[in-house]
Amino acid sequence: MRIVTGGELVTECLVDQGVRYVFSIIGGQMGTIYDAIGKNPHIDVITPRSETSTAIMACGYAVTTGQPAVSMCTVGAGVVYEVAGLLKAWLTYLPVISIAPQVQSYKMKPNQENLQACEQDELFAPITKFNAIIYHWERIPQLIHRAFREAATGIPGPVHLDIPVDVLFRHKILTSQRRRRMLVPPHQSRYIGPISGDESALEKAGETLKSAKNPLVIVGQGLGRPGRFPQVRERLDKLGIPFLGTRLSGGAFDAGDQFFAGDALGFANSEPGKKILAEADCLLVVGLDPDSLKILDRTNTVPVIQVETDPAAMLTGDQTIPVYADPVSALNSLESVLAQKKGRRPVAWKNKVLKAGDAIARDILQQAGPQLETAFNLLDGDSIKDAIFVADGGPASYVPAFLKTRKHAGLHVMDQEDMSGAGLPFAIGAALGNPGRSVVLICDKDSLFHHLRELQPAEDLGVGITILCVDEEPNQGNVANLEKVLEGLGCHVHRAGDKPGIANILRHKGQPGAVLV
Amino acid sequence: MKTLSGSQILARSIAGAGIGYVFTVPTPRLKPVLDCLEKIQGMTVITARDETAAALMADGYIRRSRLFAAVLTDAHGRSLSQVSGVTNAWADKIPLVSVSLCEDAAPNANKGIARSRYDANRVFEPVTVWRKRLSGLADMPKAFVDAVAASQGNRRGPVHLDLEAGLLDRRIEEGIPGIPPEGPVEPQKLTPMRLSGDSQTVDQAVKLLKQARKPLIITGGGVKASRASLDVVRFMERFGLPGCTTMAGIGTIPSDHAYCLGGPSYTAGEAFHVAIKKADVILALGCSFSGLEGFGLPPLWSERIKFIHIDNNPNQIGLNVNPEIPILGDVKTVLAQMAEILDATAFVAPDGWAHWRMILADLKRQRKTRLLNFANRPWGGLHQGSVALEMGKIVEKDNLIMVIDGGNTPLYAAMYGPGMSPRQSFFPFGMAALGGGVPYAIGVALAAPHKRVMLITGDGSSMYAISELETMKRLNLPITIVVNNDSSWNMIKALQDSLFEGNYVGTCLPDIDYAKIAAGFGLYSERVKNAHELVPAYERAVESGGPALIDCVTDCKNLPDSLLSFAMVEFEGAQINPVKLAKSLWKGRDMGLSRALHQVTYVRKALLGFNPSTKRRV
Repeated sequence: MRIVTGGELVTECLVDQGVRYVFSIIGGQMGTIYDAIGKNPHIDVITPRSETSTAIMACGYAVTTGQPAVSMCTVGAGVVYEVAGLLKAWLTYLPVISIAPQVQSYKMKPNQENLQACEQDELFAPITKFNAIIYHWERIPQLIHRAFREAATGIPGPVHLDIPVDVLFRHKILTSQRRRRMLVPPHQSRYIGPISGDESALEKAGETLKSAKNPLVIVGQGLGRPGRFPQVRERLDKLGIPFLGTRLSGGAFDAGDQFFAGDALGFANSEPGKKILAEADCLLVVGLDPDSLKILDRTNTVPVIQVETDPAAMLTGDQTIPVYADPVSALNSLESVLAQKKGRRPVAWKNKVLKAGDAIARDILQQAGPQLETAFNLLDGDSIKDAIFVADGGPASYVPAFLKTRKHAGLHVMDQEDMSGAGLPFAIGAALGNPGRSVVLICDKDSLFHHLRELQPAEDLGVGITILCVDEEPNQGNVANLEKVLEGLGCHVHRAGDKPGIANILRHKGQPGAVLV
Repeated sequence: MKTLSGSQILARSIAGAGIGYVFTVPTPRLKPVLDCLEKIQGMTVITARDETAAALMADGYIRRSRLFAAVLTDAHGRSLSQVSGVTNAWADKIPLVSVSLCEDAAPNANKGIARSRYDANRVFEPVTVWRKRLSGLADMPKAFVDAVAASQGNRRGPVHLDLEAGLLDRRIEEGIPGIPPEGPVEPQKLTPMRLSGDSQTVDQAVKLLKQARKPLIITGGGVKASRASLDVVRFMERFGLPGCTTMAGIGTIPSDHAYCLGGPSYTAGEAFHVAIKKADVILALGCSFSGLEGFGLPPLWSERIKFIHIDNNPNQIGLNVNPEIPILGDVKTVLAQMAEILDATAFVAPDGWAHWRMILADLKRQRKTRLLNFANRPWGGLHQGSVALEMGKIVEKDNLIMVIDGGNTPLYAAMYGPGMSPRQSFFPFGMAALGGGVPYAIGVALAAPHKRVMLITGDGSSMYAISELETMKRLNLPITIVVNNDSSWNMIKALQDSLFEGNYVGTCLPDIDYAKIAAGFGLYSERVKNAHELVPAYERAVESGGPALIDCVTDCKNLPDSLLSFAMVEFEGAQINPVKLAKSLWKGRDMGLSRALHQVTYVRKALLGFNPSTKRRV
């Protein structure tokens, strides 16, 4: 039995849920949470230099580790910076838990000119899956568990919790009995096991797939990544059907995946790709996302088997066979149906798709320009097989084509329409979650400038990311000399002309390093 | 018939609404719009490096210029990056026009797979006074005119427009009614609403004021909006009333004026605390009684105060304090009405008012002496008060514009800085948000082309928009950045000192050389560790011609004493563990005896109101 503050209770719940890092800039109202974190060896605070980055770093951490990540920003003044960052988690289906303190529960809603405050729950409402205010100390565990459940269940996404300062500072007795009841491990607060799927739907899907001559799989939503059914990779290998990745999932696959044909949008936007899509007679969509939706717009007459972890995400239409199951269970089941099919597997179709994929990648790479070509030449080699890549700015359109034929430990493409310059904080989050790996950010000068400030905490934390940046001479649009700017921020800078050995730079841990091409 | 592109219509709509400054970050979709804008005579387009900063720059520009400005960005993250700047404008009631592109597809509130169909317009709802989503080109010109009008309604504040991105690719016939003609922009000025007070109520207010024994004037941001600063000072002088300002009202009464209690709100220390405990009638002019001032309510304010509250927003009256006499009207106009009545009755301030003024003036003098002596002690490191004092002297001498950013840094600037005029000092008080300093300085410098700007910022806040040093350099703006570098998020570190036994988590920063960072961006920069190096460093910075940065290494053990008062409001209702508090205070002896005594004196004089020497003297 002991006296516990609201902040301690929050911290204990986060530790129970497996949270290792809280990405956060402190505010007074979070005092009790920070105090508890400081005393708990299992959880730490990572402090970036703007709240926008807390959420983006959390995205990078979550997507490369599969572990939950928390973005915690202070009342009003902090969360208004966080909103844009959390949108990234929303648009890319990432289970980022956003927690913010609020002013006193008896003054917070409606706002009455409180210092720093606004109705922040409403700011987050349109871009979170779940959003709540915790008015009572007793309800902290229940609602934190619910936030994790909502974030991870079905199609993942960010959630937001507001906790008023009086609740965070409330002291109450927590008996061991009460503790056992309130603080439960994740497997007791949410369903973590497989979703085996509806047998009849799987049967129907299996029959459809069996009868298809030219089936094609599109894997979306970041499936195949840590935490999002990484076993999907080996299941696809066993399934033996050529597959495309989308912007969110494509980077989970590499040259080691013998049926991986490339990027879905690359297929949708090129002649050889369109031809393949026109020839496909059955689509197996595992985790629908915006890219796969674009493909479906072009192939609307073929049967579509849609595998989802959320029945609410199913497309409607005569051609769709909805399968509510987790992708691993679904692919397992479909594989066993296909295994019953007599005769050899159609190799010609597979080769055709893969060949088209290669041709599309070659075409894309031809347009990359000499600077990116130099960058790619620098990277070429075995040393990148353990590296995680983040692509941002102009290069983001070309990096997937380059890495398609190489082995790597993951590629994350920052969508230029989603937000600007998220690459750097994202890469830092990824590096924090993967201390044993090199993290390479491939970007251009313009995108790098958005969150340049985060190089300082990266240096402070000993995060040795490598920035491979397409530089631009100072001009009227940007008068800064990038080399000097990066050196000012504590970054080791190499020029491509110096022919730096990338293997050495990737090994360069503990300090951000940059290669300018 | 000649047709116009969506980009042309957008550019003309912006100009047609009287907006002459647009802050943006170009994207391929926005490029044609920016090309059209740049062709308009009198239109200035400013490119920022990041959308967050663009919104803050626009806000800063409006605060200083009193002209309309817009921030224009692309969709999604680029749009929501504006939220921080828009919220600052909302909290401080600045009519910022925020514009962004959005998806063509209508928003879908069902949170399914199509995540990009979230309602971007709704995100802005809690922090704007008006919003609209535009789906037709023909509606665009009127929407901008409506937006500008709405931003100046009862509740002044930012407005947000979402434009479906596809509109830019459409064309429309030029002859359609409502399309503004091609031509130069005529920048529209922010105009105060000259609303008269009801004469009977004004009579009652004058009557109450005359009966007061210890009257006090308090001025808020509404005095700036009403441009009534000079009128307030004249009123105070004419009728012998002491006065003070809220944080938002900084500069509306110069802090060095003999009748003013000192810096804004609690930074005036015991003078302010005694005033709000002892005053019997308070004439509140355009102030919102926000959390920064403790809502005008107990425990810090006396329950017996009778308020006369003048404001032209009816929703502001009665929001936190329930005034004895509410007057719906413009500060300048109502003050003139009151002065006329007082003059007509040949009112002469009673002797008691002079005595009351003298008590407050003595408290102010004592505090000033105490603060000066404290900052000038032979400390090992540079004291933050010395930085504010030395820089304040320069601001005063060269009539600079000051932009402030940070947590403790604004408190030091207010406590030690010089007396300011209403448009000389800028800080987002309502949100008290960190990180706006660099963009605000840029916006303010653009609005005051012939003046030098000094930005005093904390180290924590200095990095938020560090990329915008490039913008500063590119535009070659005469801005000197002074970083109060105490290697910590010190306002919160103080909390960990006082409540959590010095358990520093997330509040310590390494020794960062901000001069080196600024030099990387091509700025002139220096690192300073002693008070006597400050002025020469500033002079060299000015000589360099362009923007410059001075990194002042200060001592993180120092704390502004008035922070205690703000903390009392912030943590009202929060349970403080007495054992932890006692342990923390015991551990707090590490700060040194003189610092501890300084804080104890503040508690005694300001929070407990125990000032026997004043009673003796006056």
